[in-house]
Amino acid sequence: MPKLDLLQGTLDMLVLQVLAGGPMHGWGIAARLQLLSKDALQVEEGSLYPSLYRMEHKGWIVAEWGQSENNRKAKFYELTAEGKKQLATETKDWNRLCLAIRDVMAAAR
Amino acid sequence: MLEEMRLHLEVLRDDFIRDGMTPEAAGHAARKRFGGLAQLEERCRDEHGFIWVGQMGKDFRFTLRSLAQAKLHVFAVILSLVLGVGALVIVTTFTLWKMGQSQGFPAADRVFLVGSGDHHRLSDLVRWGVDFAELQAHHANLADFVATERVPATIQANSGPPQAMTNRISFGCFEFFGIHPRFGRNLEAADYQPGAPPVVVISDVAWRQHFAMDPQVLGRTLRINGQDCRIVGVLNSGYPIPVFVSVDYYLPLAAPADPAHPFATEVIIAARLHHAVTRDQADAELAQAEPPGLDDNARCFFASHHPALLPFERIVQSKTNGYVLAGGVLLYLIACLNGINLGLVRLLGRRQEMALRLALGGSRWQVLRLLLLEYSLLGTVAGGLLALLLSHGVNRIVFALTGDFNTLNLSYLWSTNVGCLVAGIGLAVLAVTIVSGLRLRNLPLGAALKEGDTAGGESRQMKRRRNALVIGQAALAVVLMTVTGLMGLSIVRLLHTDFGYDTANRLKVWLIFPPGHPADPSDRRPYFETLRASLAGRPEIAATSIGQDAMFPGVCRTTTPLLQADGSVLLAASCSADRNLGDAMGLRLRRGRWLTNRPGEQETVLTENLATELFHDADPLGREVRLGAHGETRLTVVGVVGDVRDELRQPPGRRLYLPLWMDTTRINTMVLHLAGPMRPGFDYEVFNTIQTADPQVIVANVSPIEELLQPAIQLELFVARMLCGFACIGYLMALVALFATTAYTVESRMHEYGIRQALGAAPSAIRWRILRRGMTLVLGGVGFGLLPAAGLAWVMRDLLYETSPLDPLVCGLVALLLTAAGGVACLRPAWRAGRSDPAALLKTE
Repeated sequence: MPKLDLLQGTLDMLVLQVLAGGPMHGWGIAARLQLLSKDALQVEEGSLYPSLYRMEHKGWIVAEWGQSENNRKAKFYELTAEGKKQLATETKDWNRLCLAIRDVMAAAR
Repeated sequence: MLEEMRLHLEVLRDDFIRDGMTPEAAGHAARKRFGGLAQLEERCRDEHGFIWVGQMGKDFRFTLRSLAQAKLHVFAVILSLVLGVGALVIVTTFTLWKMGQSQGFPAADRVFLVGSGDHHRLSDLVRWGVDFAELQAHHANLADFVATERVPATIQANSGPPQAMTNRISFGCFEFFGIHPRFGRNLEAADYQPGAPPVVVISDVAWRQHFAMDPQVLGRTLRINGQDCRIVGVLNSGYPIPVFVSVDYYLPLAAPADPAHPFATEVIIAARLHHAVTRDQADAELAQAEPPGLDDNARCFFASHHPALLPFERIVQSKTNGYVLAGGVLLYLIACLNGINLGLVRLLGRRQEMALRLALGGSRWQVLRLLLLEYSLLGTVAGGLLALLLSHGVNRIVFALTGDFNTLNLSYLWSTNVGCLVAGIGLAVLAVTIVSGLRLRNLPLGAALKEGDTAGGESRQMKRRRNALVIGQAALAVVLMTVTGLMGLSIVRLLHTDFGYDTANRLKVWLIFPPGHPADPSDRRPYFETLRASLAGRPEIAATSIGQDAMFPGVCRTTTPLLQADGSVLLAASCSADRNLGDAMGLRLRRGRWLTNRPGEQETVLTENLATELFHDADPLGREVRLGAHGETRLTVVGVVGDVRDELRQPPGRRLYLPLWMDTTRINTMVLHLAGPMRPGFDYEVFNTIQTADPQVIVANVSPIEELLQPAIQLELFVARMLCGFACIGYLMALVALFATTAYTVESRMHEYGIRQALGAAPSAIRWRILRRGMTLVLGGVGFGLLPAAGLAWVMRDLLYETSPLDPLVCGLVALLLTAAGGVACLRPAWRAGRSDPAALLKTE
């Protein structure tokens, strides 16, 4: 199945959504996104890490070093209260956008 | 950050290996998917905000490199800031110090000086030689009185100069002004009792300079005027001490003044009002009450000189502070304008670089940040340099500018004035950056980026603004220079005031006889005749005369009532003099002869104005003058001399000369008429001769009469010195600004000059064109500056003497000097423009 391009501005929301399930390291987040999208989305590391650092700077997530499931040293990211609020806002906006696009597409038929 | 990414890369490679790739291929595939680690790290830093740190570092390094290539600009900006802000800091330090003199002590708003009339000069205060304790008893509205008497003294047993000023202060004077000792004690009531052992309190400066900060100084003995005085205290320099109180040695003012000789002791009296009393009430009480125990003559004097309260600020914090502050602020403004002008010139030189930055995506804020960093760096260097200079040399700088003003506490004060330095530098840096930033906003990118374009970056409007800046600077320099010139002219006129006698090559020798001296209070003629004989052999001395110091300006004189024919009393200054005084002083004899001074000879010499007032048009010679309120002494007029001025700025007063034999107990002065200009060291030789002959006598001064005028013009000299310093700096800054502007304009128009020359223009015509442009800017500045200068001079008119605020000589000289500066500043650029090679310039196109 061909890979889809992420819509601009949605990466932060997807990462926040993945982290809503619990703390996760960068590699884990990328793998989880791929899994949840059934291989339709593959986040490039070149976009993932800047996004993580941006959200950390904004205070939506915090990072802490720990041990991965393979006993490797890894940096785990966790959602903050502010991040949860941001996720709720972005989810709501996303749903409105989807509805609006669906309505436009239905009306145009 | 890098570690996290490397770990991620390893996981990715392991995955690929698990998928069956060789380790080498897996590593390659992982790196390919991940991308460059360094680039990713850079992007992450951008997102995380670390960008600022890195960017600031880069900007800093770039700014340093950029400034290193513009050494002249750096030098000019730093010099402008150092001079402008330095002037501001020095004048505010001085003003703070002066303000501290009247505000630092307890209940300062209720403290007044007891003087007369509405004079505001320290020397014009009435030295009321009455017992101040009596004053307090008779004036219920005034809570406290303190009195101080400055007495010159000979001091031995310290490392300082043998002659110094001492202050005899009344009990409670230190407490009155809130001054406490650093260690030891203040003068106490017991020190004022008759027969108490003599004690002295020394200043912090004396302790530091003459006693090497010896902690064991208490108990040491100083020999002051032949009397051993024990040091009991060292004052703390942290307290503001009024200028008329501040000396190095303080002694008790114990003996009450003799009411029979109210002018014998010259004290300055300060008083503090009771809480519930207004100044008017206290003034009314002072005016009504008459000092007790006065004789008829003194009563006549006090009747015409009603004492009044003078606000303390008028003496110590006079208008001069405002004038000096205005001068400092003007210079600071000139420095700011200079900085702005230099900044604009530099920005115009860098406009292609700036345009490239903007064209490549740099935001205007980023470029502005570079400018801010650059000027902040320059400001920091200038501030540091200034701080270093001030902390090491503020006393010397201020002392050089202020002359005789006491510089006590200034080194302490300046450290509290760091805020002024920081604010001055900060505001200047901000002004330069803002103006440069505004210029940046309007930068025409297209024109600036055009290949080979050199003049297109500056619009006509911008050129006008830069010219306006130069004109503004020149105008401010005109204000400073004109006011300085007017002050200078005024001082010259004051120094050349005709006193009615010759002040050149005359020395005044003033002696004080301490209590107990054989010549006090007996007939002093033998003492002075012996002294005259000991000096007679010197070839430098053409004539000598003895008399009273009251014959000189600035000295509290004896006023004598003269009974007129109609029974009214006329007051006139009088002094006793021997038969040589007319020659020794160079008095202009109009009619008759000088006093013969034969004992018992009842004769007098009058000044012309007194003779006219007494006898109108009649011949005064041979007429009778009746001295005293009741006319008890009768003298015959034997001569009339030209009018003699008692005070600078005052018209000549009425005066009569009395034979020396009439008052021999108050002789204290000798006049030496020298055959030529005084040779260096001659005054010291006279001093030594007197001291060697009689170590007990105090030689108060041996000074040329011209120097005696200095205290009377102290304020003018002080303001003139400060303004002169500021005006010179302002003049140089205007010159630099004009040079920078002209040099830049010439540089940017070299191409045009090349074409002009190629088309046949003569180099001299081009040079003249540039010179004319520079002169026009300067003349514009002169035109704009003269009016404000006249306005400021009008405000300062109380310091100007017989000088109009629009004096044509001064205005013309200032215009000439500035025009000459314009010519000098344009010379080099004009010379360069005239030497442009048309072929070479056009080839670069």
